[in-house]
This record gives sequence, C-alpha cells and structure tokens, in this order.
Amino acid sequence: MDMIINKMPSPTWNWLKVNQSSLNADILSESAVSFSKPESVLYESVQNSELSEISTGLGEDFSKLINSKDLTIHRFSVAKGVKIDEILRIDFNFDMEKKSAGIIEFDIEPGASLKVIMDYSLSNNGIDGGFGAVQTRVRLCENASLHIIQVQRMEGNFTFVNDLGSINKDSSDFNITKLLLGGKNTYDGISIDLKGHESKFLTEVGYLVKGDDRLDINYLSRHHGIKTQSDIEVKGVLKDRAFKIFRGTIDIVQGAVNAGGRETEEVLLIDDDVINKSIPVILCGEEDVEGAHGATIGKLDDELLFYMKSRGISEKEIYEIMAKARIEELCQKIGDRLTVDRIHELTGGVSYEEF
Amino acid sequence: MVKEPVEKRIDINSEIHAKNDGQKHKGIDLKTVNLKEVNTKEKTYVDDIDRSIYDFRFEEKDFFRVEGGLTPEIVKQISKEKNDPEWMKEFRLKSLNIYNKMPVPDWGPSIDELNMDNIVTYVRPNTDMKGDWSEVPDDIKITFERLGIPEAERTSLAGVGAQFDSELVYHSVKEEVAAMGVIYTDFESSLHGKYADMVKKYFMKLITPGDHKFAALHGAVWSGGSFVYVPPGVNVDIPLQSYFRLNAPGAGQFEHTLIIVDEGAYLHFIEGCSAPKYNVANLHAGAVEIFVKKNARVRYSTIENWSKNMYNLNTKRAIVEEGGAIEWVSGSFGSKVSYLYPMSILNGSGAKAEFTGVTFAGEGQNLDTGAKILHNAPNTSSFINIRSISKSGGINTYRSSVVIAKHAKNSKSAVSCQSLMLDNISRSDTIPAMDIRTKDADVGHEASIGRISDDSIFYLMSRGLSEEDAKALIVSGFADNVSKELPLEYAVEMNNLIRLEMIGSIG
Repeated sequence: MDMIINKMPSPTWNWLKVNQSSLNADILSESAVSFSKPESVLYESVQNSELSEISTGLGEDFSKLINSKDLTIHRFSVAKGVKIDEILRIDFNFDMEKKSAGIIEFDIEPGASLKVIMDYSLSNNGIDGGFGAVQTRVRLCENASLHIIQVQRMEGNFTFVNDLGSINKDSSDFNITKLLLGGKNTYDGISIDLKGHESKFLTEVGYLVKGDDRLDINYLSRHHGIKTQSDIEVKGVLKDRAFKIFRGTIDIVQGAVNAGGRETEEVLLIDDDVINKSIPVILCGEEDVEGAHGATIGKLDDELLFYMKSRGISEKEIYEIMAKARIEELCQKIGDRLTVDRIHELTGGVSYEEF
Repeated sequence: MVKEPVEKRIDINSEIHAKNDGQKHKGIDLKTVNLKEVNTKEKTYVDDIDRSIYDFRFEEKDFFRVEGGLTPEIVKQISKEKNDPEWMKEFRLKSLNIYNKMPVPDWGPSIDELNMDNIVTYVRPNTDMKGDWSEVPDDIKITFERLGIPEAERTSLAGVGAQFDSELVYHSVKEEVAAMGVIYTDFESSLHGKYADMVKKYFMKLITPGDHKFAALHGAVWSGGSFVYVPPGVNVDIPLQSYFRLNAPGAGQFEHTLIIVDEGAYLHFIEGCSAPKYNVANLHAGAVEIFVKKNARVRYSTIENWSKNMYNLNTKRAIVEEGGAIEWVSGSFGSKVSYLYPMSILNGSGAKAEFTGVTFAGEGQNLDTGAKILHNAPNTSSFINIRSISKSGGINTYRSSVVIAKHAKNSKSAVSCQSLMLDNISRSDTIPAMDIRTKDADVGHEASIGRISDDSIFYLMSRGLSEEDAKALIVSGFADNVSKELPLEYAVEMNNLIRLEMIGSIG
C-alpha cells in the first residue's frame, strides 16, 4: 500500500521535500511480542478498540493500514489510584524477512501511574528487507502518569515504523524516553493531544544514525487545555552517509491560556556525506503562552576540540566519545540495568559491572 | 523619507480636503477617504495602523489601460506599448506559457479571492517620465509630495525613481553620483542604448520564470522599475530610492529592479511602496534581482505599506560573490496577503548575508514572510533576525530556509525569530527549515513566542508611564532590530507606523 506518512500539519515550500514522506508497505502477519508485567497491571487482548481512531504521528494512511489487518490489540490498563513501581516490559522481536506489526494500548485510569520499557530488536540474519511496525495508543486519565521508554536496537536491512498517539486529560503527566539505534529505514511518529488542563508531556530522544540508514521523525504536541506543558528534546549523531529528517510541531490552540511549549534539537554531524533536515515549528493561536524552540546543528565546538586534543585524544576519538555521551545521557534516565546493558551491547558502552 | 509630523500633515492637507467630493483642486477632481483626526483620538481601544496618510487617490483621466485578464494578446499589447526589443516580447510570451502551466502554491495563505481575470496588468499614466518634479503632472506630483518623496530627495537621497501605476513618472540621479559612473535609470531605457547587452545578460537570470507562478507572471507583464549599476570601487554614500505607488483600483504593479554592484563597490538602495485602499483586489508581483560582485556590499531596505486590499506576491533575490555581502532590512506593515521571502545565494568564498526584518499583521491581514539563504561556497555566513507582531486577528507566519551545500565547508548560520502576540484572536506561526549537507557547518536557530511581559509593563508604569505608553514603548523597542538599521528618517516613519497602531492599546 502506498501511504503518505509523517505529514507536517503546516507545510512549507515543496522544493525542500520535507512536508511529508511516502512509504510503500504491507502487513502480512502479527509481530512476535512478549511481555513481563507487574501483577497490578491488567492485560487483555482485544480485536476492537475505541482508541483505534486516535490521532498518531504517522498519520491517517498508516492507521488505516494497521486497523485493516485484524491484529490483536494488546491492552494494558492500570486501575484508578494504583501506582505501580515495578516496570512493565514489552519486547518485540522482528524477523528480518517478514512484514509484521503489533498494536499496544495503555489505558491509565485517574491517579494511576506506570513505567513501561518497550524494546524493539531483530532476529534472523536474512538479507531481504523486512518490515515491522508498532502502533502505541495511550489514554491517560486525570492525574495519571505514564513513562514509556522505547529502545530500538536494530542493525540491518529493515524498515521500522514506530507510531504513537495519546490523549491526555487533566493534570496527567506523560513522559517518553526514546533511544533509536539502528535500522535501515526508521519512521518515528508521535502525536499528543493535551486536552486536559495542566496536562504535561515530555519526550527525550537520542539517536545514532550511521551507514546508509535513514531516520524520519514527525512529532506533534497539540495544546488544548489551560496551563498545559510540553517539552520535546531531541539529540543525536549522524555518521557516514546517514540521513535524518526531524519535524517537530508545537501547536498551541486558541484557549490554551498559560500553555508552555519548548522544543530543542542538537545534532552532531560526524561525516561529510550526512544529510540533516530540521523543521522545528511553533503554531500559536493564543496570546498568554510561552513557546520556544532552538536547534544547534554541526560539528563540535572548537574550544572543546582544542581542550581534548591538548589532552592527547585524537579528533576521531573525540567525536566517538561525544557521540556515545549523547546516548549515555539518556541511559542515565532509564533506570533499568537490563535495558542499559542491551544498549551498551550495541554502542560499546560500559556495562554497570564494568563501571 | 522625511515626514512632517502627522498633525502638521493633516493641516496641510485640510486645505485640499476642504474641497473634496466633486470639488476640484487646480483643475483635478479629488476624492478623499476617511482622514482621521489622529491627534484628538481618545485612547480607549487598539487601532490598526492609521493608513489615512496613504489612503488618498486620484481619478486617472486619460490613463491608458489594457483589458483585465491575462492573454497572449494582452501581453503582446503591453510589449508593443513599451516598445520592447523582440527578445523581450518572446520572453514575455514564454513566461505567460509557464505561468499558465504552474499551480498556485498550496502551502501558504489562500489567494482564492485573487482573480487574474479582473486584474488590469498595465496602466500607463498620461505622462512620460520626467527628470524635474515641476514637469510632473499635478495630481501625480501631489501624490509624491504627500508621501514626502521630493523633500527626501532634496535632503537625503542620491537619486529617486518614482513609479505611478505601471510606469516611472520621475527619475533622477545627482550629478556627482552620475559622475562617478553610477547608472540609475528606468528599466525601459536600459533595454535600449549602451546598457542593453548588460541588461539582457542579467535580466531574469536570478529569478527565472520557472521559479514559481508569480515569477512567471512577472516575466510576462513586468513594467517599470529601475536598473542600477555601480562601477568597481565606487562607494555610493547616500542611498538611491525607488518609490512605488499603485493608484488604480483592480490593477497590478510588476516593477523590475535590477541592481549590479561591481567589485569592491557599495550601495544602499531603499524601496518604499503604498496604495490607497479599494474594495477590489490589487496585485503586486514585482521582482528585485541583485548581483553583488566580489568584495562588494549592498544594503537593500524596504518599508512596505501596501493597503489592505493588496496581494503582495513579491520576489527578491541576491547572489553574492567572493567576499561580498548583502544586507536586507525589511519592514512589512501592509497588504491583505503577503508572500515575501528575500533570498540570498552565497556563491563565493567568504560571502555573507544578513536579514533583519519586522512584520506587523493587523486586522484582515495574512502576512507570510521570512527569508531564504543558500550557502553554496565555503566560509560563508548568514544571520537572520526577525521580529513579528500580531494583533486584532492578524495572521503572521515566519517562514525560512537555510540550506548548506556539501561543499560549503566552514559555513555558519544563525537564525533568531521572536514573535509578539497582542491578543488571543491573532495567530503567529514559525516554520523554519534547515537542510545541512556537510559536517563542517555551524547552524543555530532559536525562536520564541509570547506576549508583553506584565513585569515589564509594571516596571515602566512604576516609572510614570501610562499603560498604553508602556506598551507602545515596548513594541517600538521590540522592532528596533529594523529601525536601528534604517536611515533616521525611515526609522522615524517606521516607528510612527508602529506607535499609531499601538495608540489606545490597553491590553
């Protein structure tokens, strides 16, 4: 199926070729998923859901495709007032030669809280380009909080779609931490509807794109309620002939008084054949708000380079250290040894034991 | 331009306006509209920019007009009226062809209400171009007098081109400037005579008809504008100015400005524009092409104050060679819809571009403005500094692109965009894009949006200012990125436009 995906809500000049992406893909089977859940987390597998119409980052075409395949919806819910300390783990292991997808839903009731780690990895060393997709749908009720950590560990000729949509009610708190490490073609989309007053959203994303890999991102945070807050922080590294496009939109709708939206991007470019495209957008229809975005793109600061070279470190090593540092920064926030060790297997970082 | 204080201007005009609506002044029918008594207005509510000082018009008796619409016959007629060389006529027809095939942009403000069948693309005043204001017909001369052009020319300009509808009616350059070898002529003259080959070599090579639909339209029906050439090493200390006045309702203005500043030279060129307000649409699709040669520097300043029925679909582009610099200074206050993104192509090592702009969108306005920079050589640098203000339902969109090519090693770019919302019925959108294709680049971008801080207003009021004066001061200060780059007279005019807008603002 030919799809338009990752479409920006406010297009710009067509010659820049950033307004949207196109993807031809199909889903032929259900992805293999396993999970380990705390006792208080309720699980059910369903075929239909009212959250199927939720807005997601990839857009309507992808939702239409995934909803048409009769996939099992794995729904995890937490009852009212239940705060869960233990982590819910969900592991997707994609066969490199297959075309599969999975749907996850989180329904967090008022006052409840949950932390989830979603791990995406590849098995089978086939050379054919496979396809995998996960759509995550979230309903976060009043005063509920959810922290999702998504770790993508994929090296190989594989196209991966990671799509998410969320509806956030009053005083809810939604936190997404993402590490995107590898994958021939990755399409990553988030769409957050801060409908409730004083609802908050924070996403911290780190990525490493190398070889001929491509990363295509579309994040949208839409403020409807009063005093809503969103924060999108994206840091990454591009090496070799990598391609990355980041579209980040903060949309403050009229009526979202005292809303605050912030977006920052830092990109370290290591090699000369990389292509970086950044489109940080603020749309504002309300007076009494604060919106800001900033982007820093390019090489390392000359003073930092001089300092480290004066300590006997070569320029190549400096860039490798700084690239790993960006990933490490987010690893510190994960708070889970198993996940951090898995990341270090890929990035060559120091394990907890060695540290 | 030099402006008398608003109150005094009203006094001067009252003599004329006492004889309005069917009366005559020096044999010319006058119609005046809504001249406000600004100095006696109560400060109780927010006003739009007071355009009454621009909102006057004259009947265009015996002016030549083509039919509305756009056909090969109309384009041929314009070419014949203008005595084009054969190559220009062919160019126009090819451009029309391109125009007909290209789609309307789908990413910006709607221009659905602009119907080209109703736009008259060529209106020629009943006069030829003069070199002395005393020879310009009275109605046209009064127009430019009220806009302050002749006085500005006397006091602070090296040369002036004044365009009324589709043709230049006045053009002059000071002798001492001409003696340095500076060429400043109307565009039509430059197509014939000794500069013809140079003009043909450069005309619409930077902005080509294929760039977008309204560049193609311009190529088909352009008329008026100026050609400027500054020889190597010449410093034109005092600015040259072109002023564009669109008087005819339902008409278009399509002036072409071609500026070539040779090696090591300097030029400051100022552009001003205005029109009276009508209930029908007017269209401005001009083009400005600037060639900045090696180590040359050009500053291009614009105060755009078209009326609120104007569709301003203007294209400006500069190409800068090694060591050269282009500085854009842009104040956009008028138009119903604006698409305006001056573009700088940094084509030689060490070339620089700077863009400083302020856009003020008020009621009924949808202004889509910004800048484009292409780093196409190493060691190039660019800086964009934009402020935008939205009020009374105005829509302000900042749109930019910074592209750094693979071979543009050691390039640097910084973009700063700040937006001020003055109420919750307006909009301010920021859509920047960066496309970087080398690791050897430094790009920074920041943008912020918000309202006037209560703390700032409180501080100023505690020092004795009223609330509306405090807000007016803050907004004027907010726009100072542009006003401090303009010659004093123009900065004063710009600040007057802002302060008139803010009178009566009580938040």
